[in-house]
Formats: sequence, C-alpha cells, structure tokens
Amino acid sequence: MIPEIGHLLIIIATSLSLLLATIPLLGLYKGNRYLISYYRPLSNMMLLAFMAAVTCLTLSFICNDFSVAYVANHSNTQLATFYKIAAVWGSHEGSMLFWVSAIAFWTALIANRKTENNEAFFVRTVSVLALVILGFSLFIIFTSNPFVRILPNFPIEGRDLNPILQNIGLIIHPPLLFLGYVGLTVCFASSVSALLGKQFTQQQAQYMRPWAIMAWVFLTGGNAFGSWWAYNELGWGGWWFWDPVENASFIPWLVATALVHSVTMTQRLGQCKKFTLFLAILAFSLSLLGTFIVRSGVVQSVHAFAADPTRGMSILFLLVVLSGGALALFASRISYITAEDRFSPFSKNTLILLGNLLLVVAGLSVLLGSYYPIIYNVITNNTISVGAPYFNSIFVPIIFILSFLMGLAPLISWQQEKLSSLKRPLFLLFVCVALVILISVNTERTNAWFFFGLLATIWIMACTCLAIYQFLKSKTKTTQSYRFFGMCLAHFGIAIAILAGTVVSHFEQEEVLSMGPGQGRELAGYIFVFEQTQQITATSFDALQANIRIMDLDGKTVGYVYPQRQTFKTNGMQTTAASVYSTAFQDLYVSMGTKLNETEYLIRISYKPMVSWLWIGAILMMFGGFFIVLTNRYRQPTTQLKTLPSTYTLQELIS
Amino acid sequence: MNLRVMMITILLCVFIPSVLADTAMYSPEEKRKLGFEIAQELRCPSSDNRSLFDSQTQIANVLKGHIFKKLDEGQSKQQIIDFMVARFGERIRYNPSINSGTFALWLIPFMLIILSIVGGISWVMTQHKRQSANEQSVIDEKNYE
Repeated sequence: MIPEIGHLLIIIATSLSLLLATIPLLGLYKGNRYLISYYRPLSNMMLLAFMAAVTCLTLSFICNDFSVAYVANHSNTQLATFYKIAAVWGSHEGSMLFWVSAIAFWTALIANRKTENNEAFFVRTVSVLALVILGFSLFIIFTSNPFVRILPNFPIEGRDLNPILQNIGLIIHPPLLFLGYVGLTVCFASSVSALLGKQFTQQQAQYMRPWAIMAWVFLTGGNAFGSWWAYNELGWGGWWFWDPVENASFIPWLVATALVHSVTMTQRLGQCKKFTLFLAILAFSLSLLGTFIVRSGVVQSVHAFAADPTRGMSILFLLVVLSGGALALFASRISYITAEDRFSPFSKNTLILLGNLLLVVAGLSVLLGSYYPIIYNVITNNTISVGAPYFNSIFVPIIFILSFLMGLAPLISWQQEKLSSLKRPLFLLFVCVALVILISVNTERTNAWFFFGLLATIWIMACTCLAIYQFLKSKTKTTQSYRFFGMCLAHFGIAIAILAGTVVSHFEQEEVLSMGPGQGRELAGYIFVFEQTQQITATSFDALQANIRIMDLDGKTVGYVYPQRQTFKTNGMQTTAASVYSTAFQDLYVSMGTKLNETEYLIRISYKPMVSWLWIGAILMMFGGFFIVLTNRYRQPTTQLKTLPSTYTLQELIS
Repeated sequence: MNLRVMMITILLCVFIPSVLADTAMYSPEEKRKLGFEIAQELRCPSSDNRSLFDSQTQIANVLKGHIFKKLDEGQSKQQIIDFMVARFGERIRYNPSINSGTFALWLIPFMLIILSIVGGISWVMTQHKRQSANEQSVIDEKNYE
C-alpha cells in the first residue's frame, strides 16, 4: 500500500509542478494578481507531496518491502538500518527522486521569501524551477520509477547493496553533489527568469549570488568527499583519477567557481551581466550532461550505452530541451541586457574576468578530454584512452596561471588604473620566486611540477596575507569585511589543496611486494611487519585480514594497519579494503591484493605525505563560502539597494 | 703502429657507446620508479578504467611482470610502451599519441587558453577605449557649452 501511495504522490507532485510552471506565468502575462498569487501555495504543496513520496520510499526500505523492485535491488534483510536509509538515494531511481525533492525544497524556500520589489523575478524563477521539476518528474515516472513492484516472484531476503557503496561515503557524497546541482538549477532558473524579464539588475544578481555560492560549497564538498571516499575505499591509494565520472562533477565545479566570481562582479558593479547569465546556464547544462554521461553508462565502455538507452536518451532529451531552450532564449534576449562594462586594464575586474575565462577553458578542456574517446570512436571506429597524463599536462598549467591571478586579484582594487599598485605585488613575487628556488635547490629530485606547485601555493598565501594586512590597515569598508574574510579563507583552502597535491605527488613513496606472515619491509623511515592473517566475519561480508605492524627505525611500534580482502556473502564479489595509518602530515597506506601462494599476498605500501591536507583545504573552501552566505543573510543592505537602478516591477511588465 | 692505435681508438669510440647502450642497466631504484611510471600510464585491458598499476586483475599483473622483465633487458620506456601499443592497440595508453585523429584533443585546449587570454585582454582594452572616448566626448561637450 505504501509504495502505491508514494507513486500517487509523485504523480500529484508532477501535476502540481505543471500548474506551478504555467499558472503564475500566465498570471504575469495577463496581469492577473490572483493567478500570480498561486505560486506560493503551489510550491508548498509540491514540496509536501515530494517529501511524502520520499518518506514512502524510506518506509518501504525500513519495512523490507522487497516487492518493490528498487528496494529489492538495493537492500537486504541483513543490511544495517543506517544503510537502508542511505539506499533511498544510493542508486539511480532514488537519487533522482532525492534530486527533484531537493529542487522542490529550494523552490519553496524561494517562493516563501520576501519579494521586496522583485516579485516578477521571483515568480518567474519559481516557474522555471517548476518546469525543470516537471521534466525530471516525468523522467522519474516513465523511466525510473522507484515504486515499481515486482510481483509475485520477489526475493524474500532482498539483494545486496553494491559492496563498494556500503560505506559512509554513500550517505554523504551523493547528496552533497545533488545539492550542488540543485543550487546550479536555481541559478539557471534565475538566469532564465532574468532573460525572460529582459533585465538583469544588480539586485537580482544579489539574490543569485548566495545560491551560486551555496551550489559551489556543496559541489566542493561533493567532489572532495568523493575523492576522500575513493582514496580510502577503492584500495588503490590515488586521490584523483581523472575518471570520466569524477570529471562529470568536477567540470560543473570549475564553471560554478567562475559563476561565483562573475555574479559577484555583476552584483557589485553591474558588470559582466551577459557572462554571468551564460555561466549560470552553462553550469546547469554541464551538470545535466554529467548526469547523462554517468547514468547512461556511456563512459565505462562505449558499448554499454545499450545498457539503458531509454534513461540515457531521456536525460539527453531533458538536456536538449532545457539547455537548448535557455540558450535560444539567451541568444534572443541578450541584446536587452545592458551592462556597465567600464573596465580599466589594470584592475581587479580584469583579473577576475581573465580568471573566469580560464576556469571555463579548464572546464571545457576537461570535458573534451573526458568525452574525446567517445567522439573518436564514433568517427573512426577505433578506441583510444585519455587519462591522467593528458589531463595533468593540460590542467596543471591552467591552474598555475589561475593561481597567479588568484593571488594578485585581492591586492588590486576595483576599477583601478594605476600601475604603481603593482609595485608591492611585484616585490612579493620576487620574494616568492627566490624562496621557492631556495627550497627547490635543497630538495631531492626537483622538477618543474614541484617548482610551480610550490610557487603557486606560496604566492597565493603571501598575497592573501598581504591583502588581509592592507584590508585591516584601511578599515574603511566594514560592511564588506565578512565577505572579504570568507574569500580569503576559500583562497587559503585552494592554496593548501595545491600544496598538498604537489607534496603528495612529489614525495610519495610506493612499494609493491609479496609479503606473508613474518616478513617485513622498510619504507620512508618506517618498518612494516606482516604479523599474521586473520579471518574476519561481518554481517555482510567475510574478510581475510592482514595484521601489519608499523615501527619506526628504532623498532618502536607506531601503530597497526589492517588491510582486508572482503568477499561479500550475497554475490561473492571481492573487494580490497585498504587500511590507512593517518597522522597530521602523512598517511601510511597499505592495501592487500591477490593471494600469490600459500602464505604470501601482494601487498602495496605507500607513504603519502600531507595527503589529508587536500581535504582540509576543501573544508576551508567550504567554510569560506558558507561564511559568506551566512553573513550575507544578516547584512540586508536595504539602504544600499535603494540607490541601485530601478528594478523590474510588476506594473512595468504588465504594461 | 700509429695507424693501428688510431684504428683501435676509433673502433672503441664507435663500439663502446653502442655496447653500453645495449646493456644500459637501470639501478634497482631507477627500475622500480620507471616501472611504476610506465604501469601508471597504461590502462588495464580488462577493467573499466584503471591503470595497470592500480588494477589487480590477472592480465594486469602479468603485464606488470612484462614491464619489469623488459626493463631488466634494458629497454627504454618508449620501447616498452610501443610494444604494449603494438600488442593491445592505442586504447592501452592513457597519454594518447599525437596524430591526425588526436590532433584536436591536444590543439583545442591550447587554442582555448590563448584565445581566452588574448580575447579577454583585447575585450577589456576595447571597453576601456570606448569608455575613455565617451568620457572625452562628454568633456568636449562640456567645454563646448
């Protein structure tokens, strides 16, 4: 009964989204206030329906209702309740429902806020969001319904969750990414709304800005957490693989980063309006493209497209309709958008603009590399692979140029033209280069990657510190201080992540060897002693575990690691669970591979200095962004807004 | 006598480097580093998207063994990669070679980088010029008044 109610609720929500996408817009064009006023109750009812549907699905999981196909395929009576709830969004159908519900939640938030004098803008935004929800809901109902029953032959015990997915990562990683995508959807909707209104004011940019930053914060979290999860779980010790699925969420992050900076420029100075609108559409389109690529199975193998062509084609259809429609609207309305693009050659504005362009280029390059094999295959019928070496050689130089801009931009004021302001940063650059040369000379195996990575870090950090110093000295713009410090925190986070990436790539040491009980090996000043193997039995898997003792060179025990080979009871799938001995500045990473003979196993030991700082950097970035959004809410600059150009009012549109 | 010494010297000069090159042995440290590097640049033929280095499949382990055997024989990185490509096709290398088919893959990013920098700066310059021209005309008008 519960699944049927859930099914019905999705249909009700879909109908409501159809109403929400049409009635308020109709009201706007007819000038009928009564019709317009429907947007609030409709949004709230739609949210309620989606929340109830999600609750139904959760209940089906908790009650082990294996007659529901989605539950039967992703749960098992043995599974801990914790993971049962996570399974609600753990796979395709449920994640789509989660995604749509999150959009509905944000829609309701926007619909219920004070509209000030921008009601038309908000109403259109809500309607466009409802249109997106409509598309996704139809997609759910027709191709990915989580409530489909398999009767009468359903599995009594259910099936297992994909063993790799039975992890804390599953509970946090997908929702973060989806929330990021949802934020991008909201930016997309407001961009379309501005285009429909033929106007993009600074005030509208001010509404869009926290949405963009929140999207960016969630995407940062989603990517970083995904990286952390892969590092700990996949048992191969890398933290970024340039896998197409990773790139699918990384490309929107790059464009979202550009969007955050561009919308800030629009909000503060009324500049780069067209670029901001375009970036909002682009970021959303890329997130949808990423979803298509991941969900259709195009990337694992070109031939796996047949795995679920209807789903892939449906998302592609959504992508074409939504992005194509938005881009067509952009092309037809862009001439109405007038920006005050007063640029001085030497100004923060120019640097940010260049940075944004480069971020988009970085995103497009990663996009090209990720999907080139598919295009190549279609054209030539041959297969090639594009992997880490290619991406590193393209991406790292761009990051280096970006780092240079990133350090310099906070030091230079808006709309400035004096070259003399470059004196201090130039001096700083010399100091940084000298310092890095000094460090590099005293480092073993120095190469260009190490040199430039270190230079980028030290440059950004030094510049940010100098910017803070200048800011504290000036003490004039007190209202801007929260935003300024949030920015500094985020930039620091990037610098730390670059440093960590550079250090771990340069100084990591690895050893692959066969090892059995009683054997040991020295690596990077530690001695690893394989003490014994042990059989472990858990609820869902049996594991063979190696107990490896780590000692320092004096023979003092530092700690133990317990890498495992897990065999899942339900499907016999084998996975490697690495074990990490982690301290603040280094990780000792041990994984156990295949059995080589009676007693010996293939053991991989890695020494990874500073690897945790990658994720600490990401957390700092998230905090920085979050801090800006939080303080943004309390800093209602009503007095400032009055001086802005007159915004779009309902009457204007009606007349 | 002199001639003989010269002949021997020439022969030595010609042969010794080639003999040395044929038996160019890597130190164990170099060999390990190079072997790992090669394994990381090649894709495991039987798993979704993992390098030979990361993959635990049987074929990956066999191929890793091959790499080290060839390094023992003194082959260079390029020779080993060429051998793998000849045997398994272009698909095995993560760093695609530059040819007519992959030309765009390498060219487009560089074009985009240059285009974005040059385009961005020239746009700023034109905006700046237009702005100054406008301001100039405003000033001119005022002067005229």
